[in-house]
Amino acid sequence: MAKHRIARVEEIPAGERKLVEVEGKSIGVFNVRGEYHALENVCCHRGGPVCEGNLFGRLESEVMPDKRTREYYATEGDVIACPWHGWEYEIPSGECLADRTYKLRKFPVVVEEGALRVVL
Amino acid sequence: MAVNGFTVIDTDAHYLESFQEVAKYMEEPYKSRLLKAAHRLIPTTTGDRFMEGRIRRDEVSYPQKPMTPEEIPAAQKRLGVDVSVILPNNLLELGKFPVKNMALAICRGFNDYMLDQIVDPKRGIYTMVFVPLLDPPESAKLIDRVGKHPGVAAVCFISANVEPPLGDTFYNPVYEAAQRNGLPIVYHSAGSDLHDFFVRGFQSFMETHSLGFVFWNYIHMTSVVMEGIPERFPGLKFGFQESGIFWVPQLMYRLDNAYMKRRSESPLLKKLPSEYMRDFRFGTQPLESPKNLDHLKYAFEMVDAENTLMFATDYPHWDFDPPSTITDLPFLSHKAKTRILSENAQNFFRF
Repeated sequence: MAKHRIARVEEIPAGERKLVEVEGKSIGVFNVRGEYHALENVCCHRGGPVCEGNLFGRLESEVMPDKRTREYYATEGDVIACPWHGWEYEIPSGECLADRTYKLRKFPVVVEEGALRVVL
Repeated sequence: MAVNGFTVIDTDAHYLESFQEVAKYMEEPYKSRLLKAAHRLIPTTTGDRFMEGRIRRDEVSYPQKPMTPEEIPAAQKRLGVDVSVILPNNLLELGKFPVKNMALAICRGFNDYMLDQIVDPKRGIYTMVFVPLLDPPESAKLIDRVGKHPGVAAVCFISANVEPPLGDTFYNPVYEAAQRNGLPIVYHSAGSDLHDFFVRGFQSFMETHSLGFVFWNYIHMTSVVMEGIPERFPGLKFGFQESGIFWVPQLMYRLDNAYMKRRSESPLLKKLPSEYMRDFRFGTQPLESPKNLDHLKYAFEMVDAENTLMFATDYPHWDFDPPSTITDLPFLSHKAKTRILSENAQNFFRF
């Protein structure tokens, strides 16, 4: 295990990301509301570049008392969709929304002396 | 090019063409009609295939604007595809055109456009003859006119919304023309719009798209087999695209079951429906991906995959399959992968 410096803190403001190459792996480092998350850029489905996808909220639906449904965004900006086929993942957990047994590989991120380091 | 040493033939790729470009190959008054009202004449789908930006195709202009011919080799390179059989995207709704002369003018224009601007056999870029199935005699003339072109690899029946089903004697002139020109038949299914689905009222694109492709394949396969098209046109080869593979064994065993009880309704058949179907070819896309790979393995066995499957990407559509869909399968032998990725297509199409 080693810490790899990948960016200055201010390089990745909230809502942004940086794609980095560490030890031959393509990794997306995301800032979701001040928390940093590093995910491997390989979709569980067909290996697509998931970390290059667009950000969305987590769309949910609730059954109302009259048994109709109401769709709403439960979160904002913490879901990434793989551009190849649309598989959606929650960034903080790396889990696939449609089936949480699929998870993107996650790496710890530490902040030291104003720099972000990915541990792997 | 190749992927992991395998030559890859993509038996179903798409190209988004500009109506302005195609119109140059059409005659008046259809030319002006298409130029001025393409989007009202040609039904488009509802429901966003790209889910408001969740899916993107950064490497090609599709779906925002028409592609350019140079994008085809670029896409081939990105996918690792050596040979592509291309269907122009705007023709997928051909079966819905109600006006015979317009459908004919469009098919003539699209075929001439594809052959003049898009195909390039030296670079492995082929197309098919697209025929207006509501006018079989004119379809036959079209096959005779362009069928000898080296860029033509098959006759394509764009099969969604086509009635009567494609085993009907109504289509005899088209099958005869394909046989005469030594071209195989590709039945290319398509999805259905929310508005035009068999049953109205579905609420999402996913619901109708999942069913539409396989329904049209069920419909035409049943008709082609049970009406004895292979017996009536023994020189023809048949391939079905766009529904994955699990529909095939389901229909094989269902038709066999009925045939065993009701042979008197199809006395022309010389063998079981499933035996005819095993002589056909099936595009792999969108290949199902069960978590338990044994289920996929058994489906491959049931359809005699090594001899019947032909790899297809369907790129750049939202549900495309890359070649790794096949190369990664642990239960397939090297020989089986080679056959599915290129040899079966090589033997089926006229390249």
